[in-house]
Amino acid sequence: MKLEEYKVSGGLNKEQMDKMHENALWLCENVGINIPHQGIINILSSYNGIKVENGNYVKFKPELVMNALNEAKYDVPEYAKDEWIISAGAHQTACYDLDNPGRLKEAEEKDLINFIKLGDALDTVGSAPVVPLDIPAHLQHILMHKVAYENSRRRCNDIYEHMDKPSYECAMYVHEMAKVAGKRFAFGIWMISPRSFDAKNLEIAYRLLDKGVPMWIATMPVAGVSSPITMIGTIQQSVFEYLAGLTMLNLINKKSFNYISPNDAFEGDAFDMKYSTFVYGSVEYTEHTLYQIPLCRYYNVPIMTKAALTNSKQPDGQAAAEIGMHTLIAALMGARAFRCAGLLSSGEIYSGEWLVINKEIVDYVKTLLKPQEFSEGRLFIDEIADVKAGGSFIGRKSTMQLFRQEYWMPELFTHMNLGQWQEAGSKSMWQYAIDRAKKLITGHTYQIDDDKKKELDKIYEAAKKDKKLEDSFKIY
Amino acid sequence: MGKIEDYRLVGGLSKEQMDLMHEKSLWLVENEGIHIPHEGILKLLSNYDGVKIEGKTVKFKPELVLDALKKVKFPLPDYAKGPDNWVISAGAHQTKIFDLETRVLREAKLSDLVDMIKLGDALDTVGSAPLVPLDVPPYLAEIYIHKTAYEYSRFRANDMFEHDPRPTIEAANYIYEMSKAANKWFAIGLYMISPRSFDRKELDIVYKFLDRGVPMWAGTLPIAGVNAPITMIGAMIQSMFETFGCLAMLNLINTKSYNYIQIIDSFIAHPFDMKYSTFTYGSAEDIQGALYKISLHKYYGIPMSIKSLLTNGKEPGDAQSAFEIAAFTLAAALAGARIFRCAGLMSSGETYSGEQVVIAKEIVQYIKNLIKSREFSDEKLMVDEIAAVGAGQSFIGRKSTMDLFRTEYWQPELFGHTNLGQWQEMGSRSLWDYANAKVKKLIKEHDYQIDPEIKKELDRILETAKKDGKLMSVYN
Repeated sequence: MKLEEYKVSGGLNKEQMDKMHENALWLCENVGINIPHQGIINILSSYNGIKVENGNYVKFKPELVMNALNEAKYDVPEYAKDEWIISAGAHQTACYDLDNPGRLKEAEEKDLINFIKLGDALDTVGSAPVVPLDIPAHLQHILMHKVAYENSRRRCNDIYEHMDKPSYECAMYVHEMAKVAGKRFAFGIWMISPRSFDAKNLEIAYRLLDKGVPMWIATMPVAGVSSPITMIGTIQQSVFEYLAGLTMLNLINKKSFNYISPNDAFEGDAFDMKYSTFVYGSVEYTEHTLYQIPLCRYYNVPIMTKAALTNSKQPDGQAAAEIGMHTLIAALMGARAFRCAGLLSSGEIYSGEWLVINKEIVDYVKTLLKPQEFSEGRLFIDEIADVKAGGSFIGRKSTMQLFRQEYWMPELFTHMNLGQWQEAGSKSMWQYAIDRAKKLITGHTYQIDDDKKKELDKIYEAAKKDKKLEDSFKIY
Repeated sequence: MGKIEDYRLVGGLSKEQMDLMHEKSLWLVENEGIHIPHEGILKLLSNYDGVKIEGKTVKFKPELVLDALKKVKFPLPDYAKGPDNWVISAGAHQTKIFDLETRVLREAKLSDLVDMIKLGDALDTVGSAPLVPLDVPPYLAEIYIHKTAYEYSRFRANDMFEHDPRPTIEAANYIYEMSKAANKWFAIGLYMISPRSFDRKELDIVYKFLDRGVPMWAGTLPIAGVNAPITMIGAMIQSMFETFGCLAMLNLINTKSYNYIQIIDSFIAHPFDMKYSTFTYGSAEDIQGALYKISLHKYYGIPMSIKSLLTNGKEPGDAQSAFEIAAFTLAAALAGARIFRCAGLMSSGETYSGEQVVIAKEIVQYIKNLIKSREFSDEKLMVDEIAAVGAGQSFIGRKSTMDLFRTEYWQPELFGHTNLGQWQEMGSRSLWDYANAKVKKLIKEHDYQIDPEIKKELDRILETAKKDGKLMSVYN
């Protein structure tokens, strides 16, 4: 007999999501989105059910939206079907220096390599964790992919990757490297709320249409800034923009499949008007996740929550409380994939030591929610009857047999008492995490096949000398 | 539509499983019994039908246990009634504290007791005295604890959340006298010593108070694998059995007042780490135990106080301590708990920290805001606003944004929403720094004082106690 597994009930019900869905369809049909790209407008104009107004405003009939939703495809990797997933990093430009605890610095190539190794050692997925600022801008994204391919198994290699390809030339280098390394390649389009796009981003998508690459849509409306002030209103806007953006992709990218990015699906960002800041990790951002999870289920989008994101500046109690509560409630709602591990200050900073603590938190939550058996044997009534007043259970056979498996032994959140901790050097949690991060980096061994590495080196050398690539990063 | 269904935890022990646990516990009380090493109490018990005495082992018929359960009374203070009143209990007589000036761990003094009582009162916390002052003679420590609590706080040591020890009959008498002078709550508690026994001295204090008409409570603290079975569910059965045995005894002997199950430490099982030989408060298994406890409290209709603010983290504001209490409190709150214990305790209760109390309060506030009821309506969805704001426009200047930005978002006190630059400009202070500043401010601004006439009377009782040779001698 099992104890019924713990989960959280409540939140948006089907009727409420039906209403949000109908609203979104109405907005797609009657309000539409701005698509500032003539080539894409021309393609869309050839379809029935499309209305183009005022040059760039495009409205979609509900049938087209429903068709796009039906045709969306989510190629979730095998490992994600039964594992808990941690996605770490989202191209931060500042990081904590592992050799000088507490010191913030600009990220460099060596940090990129170390953090990719650390992430791989911890089985994390996602995009490159940091942008190496010590190399020219036009090479940064190419190097981020190259280092990820060379030093990790899962990074930049599946649906959890969400890295920018800032120019067509850059995208083509990454595409070429992905083919050589046998890695996945997809192109993402970010909407700019409210209901628009970046023309350059659309141009890259347009030029990739004949390449047969999967494309995804994402949007990040900000409550009170680029969407309504209420979180549920912001999520409503997000649903509208996702549906419209996906419909556009479904009509133009015919040589491959399209999807809603699980990384930011039905995203709506909380914003603090006092500080003019994003407030990831806040109550309201966690509230957004509680809307996001049922909506992902409603639309059959794989669930990936940004539960590991915090606004704290250091790997401290604020950070741990925010991501701990967010991760736990998301897991209780059924999420098993968690994003933005290692990020601090709402994504301004990356921290290897914080990633290690993130992992500990997810392991803890996983332990807490594991199925538990309930049986008369586990009640140990006979043992209780056997051990009289003044007796002890320490020497019992049952204790010897079970004490290791009944209790989880954490790596960082240790069970030392005060005296033991002091004897071990009174090290802070931050220092324990740094030590572990360094050990994992040193002990990391995965390397891509030598022949592939040589080929990647060759492509990278070509990119270094490519004037067209360099020019594509210039701001005119 | 109207409202989004509230979030709550489901799963865990079913009614059938708890029925089985209840039956097994009754069987143990009837067939195994508890050890009562006190002749006077044994004599009183021998008068009753349904009680079987074998040496010092006493067995109770199920009817006596069920009768005791029916007669229990839980005089919850008004401030703790209802799902909207959240209560924090802070402190459990620690002997070490983090110095507010130096941040160094040291022995607690009387001045710390005063400060921490003031801090607790400023934060509306309840419960027992936070510290034991080690700079006063041991025979006066308990008396000072109560006197200080009475003088500087409204709720502390004044209701059923109090669980200060009464180590001797002489000290108990002084505390009783002071509570009458200050018009404060007084009860006598009896902790069982697992497995299924008592401390003879504690029984004697109970015995000598039987004619005073004071409420009495039963508590027990079995430790998995030490004085209870190794599984948490087995240790929980031991706790139920012991609680029932103790309550049945109190119900038969303390007939001049009512008796109750200690809502803090009943139906509770403590996980234990065999590697370090330590309690593992704040661990995943500790939460599992609390989730059993919550289900059982609901089963028996008993108010619940959960030790969710207790951690094994060593430093205020570190990741371990904040994560453990955040995850634990969230799980308990989702399961229906509204009373949370042990704020300020670190290292599983070896140390106390004022800073940790304010961090715990911040976490509880976060959770309260996260799981509050939310409206679902057209007004909140704001579809008209979404339609009205075109591409490239902003919601910042909208009337709805101006009207709602203060009420839609919680403004935390400690978990700041600054960005990196703002935080650096403000001095790059740690969470510990911010909490420390807040603690000092709250202590400085605290102004509650008991009526001067009552204070005089308390001073007089203390002066008598200081000279009481009998009191002094029982501590030698």
